[in-house]
Amino acid sequence: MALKLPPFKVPALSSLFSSSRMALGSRCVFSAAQCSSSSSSTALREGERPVPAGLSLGHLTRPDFPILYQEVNGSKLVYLDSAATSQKPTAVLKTMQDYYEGYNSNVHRSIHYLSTKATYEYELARKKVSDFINASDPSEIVFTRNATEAINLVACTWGLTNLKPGDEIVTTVAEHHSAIVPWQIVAQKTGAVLKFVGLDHDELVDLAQLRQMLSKNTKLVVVHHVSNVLGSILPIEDIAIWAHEVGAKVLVDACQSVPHMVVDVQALDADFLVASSHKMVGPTGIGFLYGKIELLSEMPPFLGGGEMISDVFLDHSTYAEPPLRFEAGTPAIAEAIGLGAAVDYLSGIRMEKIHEYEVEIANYLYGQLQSVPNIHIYGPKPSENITHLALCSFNVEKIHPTDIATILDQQHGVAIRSGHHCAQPLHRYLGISASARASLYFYSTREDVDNFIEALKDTITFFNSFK
Amino acid sequence: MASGIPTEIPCPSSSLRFRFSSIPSRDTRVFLRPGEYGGGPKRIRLNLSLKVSRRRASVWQTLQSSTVPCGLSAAEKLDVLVSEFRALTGPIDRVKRLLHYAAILPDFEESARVHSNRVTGCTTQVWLDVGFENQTSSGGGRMRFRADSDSEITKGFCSCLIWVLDGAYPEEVMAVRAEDLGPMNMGLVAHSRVSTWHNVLVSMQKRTKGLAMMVNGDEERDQFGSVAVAKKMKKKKKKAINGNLNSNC
Repeated sequence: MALKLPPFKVPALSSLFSSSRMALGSRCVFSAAQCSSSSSSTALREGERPVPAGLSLGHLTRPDFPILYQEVNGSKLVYLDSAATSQKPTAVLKTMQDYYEGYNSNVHRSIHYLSTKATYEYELARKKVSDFINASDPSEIVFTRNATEAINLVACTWGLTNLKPGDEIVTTVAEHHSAIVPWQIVAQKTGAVLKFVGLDHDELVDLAQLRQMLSKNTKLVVVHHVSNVLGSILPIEDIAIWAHEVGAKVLVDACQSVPHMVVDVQALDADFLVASSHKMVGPTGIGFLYGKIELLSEMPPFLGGGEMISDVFLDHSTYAEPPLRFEAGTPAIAEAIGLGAAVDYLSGIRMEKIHEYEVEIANYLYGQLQSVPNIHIYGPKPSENITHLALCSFNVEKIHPTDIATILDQQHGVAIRSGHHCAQPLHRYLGISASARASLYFYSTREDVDNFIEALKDTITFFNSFK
Repeated sequence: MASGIPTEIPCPSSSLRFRFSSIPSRDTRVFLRPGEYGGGPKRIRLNLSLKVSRRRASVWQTLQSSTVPCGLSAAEKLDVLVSEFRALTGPIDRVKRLLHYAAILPDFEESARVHSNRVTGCTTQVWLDVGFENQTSSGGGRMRFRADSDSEITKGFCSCLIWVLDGAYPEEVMAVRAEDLGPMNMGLVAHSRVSTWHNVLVSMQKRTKGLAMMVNGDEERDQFGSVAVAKKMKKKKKKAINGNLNSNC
């Protein structure tokens, strides 16, 4: 009987986990800051979409997002909550549908056609993510449910193994709850101590204070790359240098940076980096942890079960190598493949272009918002030296942000977030209980900003009329 | 007159005072609802078509402090409130109504603005003060509620809940379901942490249960001393439902 080969090319799986990893010390030097200012003057790469002159990236990409073309409460939807979750292009949705319709099968388990194809696409997605953030090898990418799970993975494995009483974890008051709470739990169990860096007068993380806080007792620095409230960017390359000088590792929460700018983990020299698919036009239910392979190799398993084992006996088991060691059970296969499609979509536009457009529209948003009377915008003011990404958290005097968000939604179809944005310590530090936040993405347009500002002014007038 | 709004509500009252409030010029109708009054039962015709001129003024309803309810049970008050909100055609009309009710929410004592009175799970800050009035001559202990929030819309929600449940028997408080409040909600009803109605109601019910158990002991018996009242109410409701079913046959 002739062996029938599948119609798609199936490279050996081992080639996706190349043993020829880049040696330490020969890291690619590719600064994210340099990429952020690159213009579209470079020649188009294969698969890259050209942006016709006169048409903004927002106008060009919007047709890929059918969800944006709907009415909410009688008004055209203006979606300004992309920092909470991004919308998904049809390319991603179709990819996931193709998986379920064409080759749904469990991965890493069977040798039949469907399983082989599913496994190939799943591991290809891992490679795509690896290339997207310039990891040295796909084995440094662990698929998780989301960034929160990724941080918990590091906390429960690396953290519980390496931290002891008196060790210090340095973080900031501006972190997302997911970057704080797991370390509180670990600190309680190990006797380690959490230390928090405050903000300076520009409402930026006080880097001088951070540097001062580092000592030989510091074992880990946990920082955001981009703040989901302040819209500010931290110089991770510098923080990593300072941390490594004292022998500490660095975990970067890149949830708000990976979707919006070039992120190069080798250039940043981050030890761990986490991100969520759903904030980068990918599906919910999948995220990833990047970890330097030498660190991942030393970490014990997180969850036990199928997939993460090598051999199982009645009295003991041996475990798989990373990344599978940390991926127990049947993974979110469609979601991982969907994330791969999201990476393809973003790469087709190029992250440099996305960042360039978003900085421009961020400045427009900030300027327009500043024109609203009695408003306070949190975070640093954008300037030549300070980049404020395309989100603004703000408060209007004497009107609760949730009241504002309610009228914006009910009367104008404008979707923003109100509350603490999973950053209660930051709000407490700023002396407020809640704020409103408008967050854009590359599919947002100036018209979205204009509609939002007009709606906001109308909303303020509405509430002032009741006073 | 908006359909579904009762124009006559039995309510014991001897006096009612009004001042006119600042109302957006587009809204020319003012709905007044009964509060709690002392005195004997009386019927009051509510002016449902009061046209307000564009000049600014202020309206509030005086609530005479009294432990005697206006004759409506909590379930009946809920029906009144649901009818009122159902008659409002758009979400913005419901918001305006809530803002009116926020303006007439009784003051909240600063001393009660403590952590133990915070309602958890809301995106706004909500404080809920819960008390239990001892048994009176009318029988049964009653729950007392006061609430406040830093959000005007949430204050409006609280004002409505307070009107329904302040002075109610504990079992009346426990009988209210979150779904009953659906017509007053903004947008879709969702049991999420942004659903203030749900969070405040759950908090009211939890603290009612705890307080009532504390007052009456932990025994599994007639804890509230007013089971007869509850049974009577249940019977009345069943009769009403059966009556409706028969009339539809």
